[in-house]
Amino acid sequence: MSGIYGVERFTSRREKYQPVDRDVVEEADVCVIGSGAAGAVLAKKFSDAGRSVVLLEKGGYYEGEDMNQRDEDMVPLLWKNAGAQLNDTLNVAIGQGSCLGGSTVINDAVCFPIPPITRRQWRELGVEISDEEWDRATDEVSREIRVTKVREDELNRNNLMLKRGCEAMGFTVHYSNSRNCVNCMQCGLCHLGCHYETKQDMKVTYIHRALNDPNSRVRVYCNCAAEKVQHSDGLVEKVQGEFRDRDGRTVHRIDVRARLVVIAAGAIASSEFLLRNSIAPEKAGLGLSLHPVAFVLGDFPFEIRGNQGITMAYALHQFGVTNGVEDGGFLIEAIYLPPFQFSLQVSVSGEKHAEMMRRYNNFTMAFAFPRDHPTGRILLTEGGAVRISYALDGKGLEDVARGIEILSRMWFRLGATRVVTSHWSKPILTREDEVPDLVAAVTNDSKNLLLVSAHPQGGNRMGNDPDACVVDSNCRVYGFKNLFVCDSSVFPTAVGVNPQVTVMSLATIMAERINRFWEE
Amino acid sequence: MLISAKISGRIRGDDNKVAQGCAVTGYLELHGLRVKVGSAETDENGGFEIRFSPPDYSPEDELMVSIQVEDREGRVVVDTQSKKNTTGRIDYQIKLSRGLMVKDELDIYSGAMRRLVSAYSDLQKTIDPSRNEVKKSLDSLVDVVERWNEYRDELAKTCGLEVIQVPKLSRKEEHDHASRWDEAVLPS
Repeated sequence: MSGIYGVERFTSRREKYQPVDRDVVEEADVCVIGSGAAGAVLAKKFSDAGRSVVLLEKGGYYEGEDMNQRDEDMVPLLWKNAGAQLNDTLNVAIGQGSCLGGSTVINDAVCFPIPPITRRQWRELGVEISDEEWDRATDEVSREIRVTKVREDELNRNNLMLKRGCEAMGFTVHYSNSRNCVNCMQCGLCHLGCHYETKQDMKVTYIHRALNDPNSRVRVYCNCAAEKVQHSDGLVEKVQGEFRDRDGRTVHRIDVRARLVVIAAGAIASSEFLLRNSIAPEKAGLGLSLHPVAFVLGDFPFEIRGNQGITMAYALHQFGVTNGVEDGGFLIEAIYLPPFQFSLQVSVSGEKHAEMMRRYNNFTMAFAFPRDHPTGRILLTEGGAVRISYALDGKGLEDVARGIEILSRMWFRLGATRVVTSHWSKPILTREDEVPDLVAAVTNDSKNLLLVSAHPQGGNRMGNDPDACVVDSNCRVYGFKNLFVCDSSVFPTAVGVNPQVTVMSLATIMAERINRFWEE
Repeated sequence: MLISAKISGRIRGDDNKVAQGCAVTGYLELHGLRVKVGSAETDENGGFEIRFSPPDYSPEDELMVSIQVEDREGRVVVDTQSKKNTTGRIDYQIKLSRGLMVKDELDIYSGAMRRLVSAYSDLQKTIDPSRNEVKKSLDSLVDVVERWNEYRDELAKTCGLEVIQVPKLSRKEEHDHASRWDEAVLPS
């Protein structure tokens, strides 16, 4: 029977829910590890084709009514490692969801199709997916998660400031984003989960539909960390995992025997899983991209109230892959963070920090994110911890610096009294003629530049070269018959736009291919 | 003197689809009394708009605005609290749903702050302490996280979150699903 299982003793849930009170032994056609943008799509598509599915999710099962719009409650519940996931030099914070629905629960609902340039470049790198397949899958995903364009009357002041700034700077390629949110309540707290369930995340779309199909056999295990795969002769026999409580204590174990296993735990965790199991040890973890963003704030004499309304609704595409830029490039997107996350981005300390936070209503906020080269690496330390080694290369740094320069000048031209950056040695500018100094600091002293990523990609590269790639064009792990990796970790390069639709589209394509060739 | 004010918004049902035909009544709080200032019916997009002239209003005054929503059967389904407004343009987003309320539901938030602080403190284990800039970043992060309790209430008020936040134990307390902001208009 379909349903959700986990270690929490909830009294009431919308979906059929049952606490796990003993070790579990499962058998299914497919075991999917991870319930985010890829895993949820895969589970539903396999279920639609008549397969029994076991879906393992490390995080907990929380519904809209649990999402109480408070930073200190929701970040530890919904974000991986309570939001404290950083690279090894602690200058790039990497945000990911860790709950049923994965990052789709805590993202800003921004939707872009995979850009034509990215598709072509991936094909040149050995990814055999046609434009027709991408188009069909993107259309299907867009229907399922109800992607619509943000209306002009839904733009809040912060987004209007970016729009006005683009016009003032003479840029021509800028427009409203599309989002997977139905009649958004505009509370501005997307990062804390959608209390109203207007955001069409995986939990309220694919997972809900898979569970409620009367013919489905989908069992979702939450609070369940997949740890090991047992395999021989290229054939995975079973997946072993642990149920853990909110403090990380193991309370029960699970064994899943499945004919086919798909790892869809997201970039970083999927590589970590392969590395822990010594699968593709020479290749897994290589080629990480992050789309690392640099926030630039403008302090204005009038109130912007950027947290009020849809926080990410407008973008400048002039310098990005969406406007024909082949190598690198960057997008500039408006955003406003909930207070806790905002406070972590202000690169000053002590009383200065408190003074900045009191100006919360008067800032504009936007970021530049580069389509960075895949130069990062995920590895395991001798003690078994995950280490994320990442630094922008020259081109990436040049793009970030250009983006920071544009935003700084933009805010000054709109009347900002000061610009606040995320560079430790140049955190505050009071005049536009200081901008070149900031650019020099970013370029020459990048280790003091604080960046944030919500789009980790790569690590388990997809392609037709078994020596360089972890998975083939069907997402099958080289050397295995029934082990697949399907999520953003297989991207051979950064996609260049907010990636959730690309991840869901890839999962759609792969599930259809696997279903087609199931008997093989 | 403010001569024209506007209450607008959009109403959707439990299924997130727009709710047409709901009756919306706008109120001002004046001298301790709740005074009706106008009413409207939601259109095919779930939208409504009530324009009115606040009586005896000066810029120093606070407009205390609230609305009541009746569904198509005439039942009062939302009755918001009065909230201060200074611009004369208030935008409501309403969802006609109250979720599943369970008084004895598990407290999923207990220990959250402790986990938050320890997650950041534990980053010590993964860094190279010989690198000064890394140590500086970590100290700053941990400082901000540890001081969050001092900031939280003041910030929530600054951000206007008290206008929209659901109860902390949102599954245990009945509450409307309404968010309300002053309309987004930039100075020219």
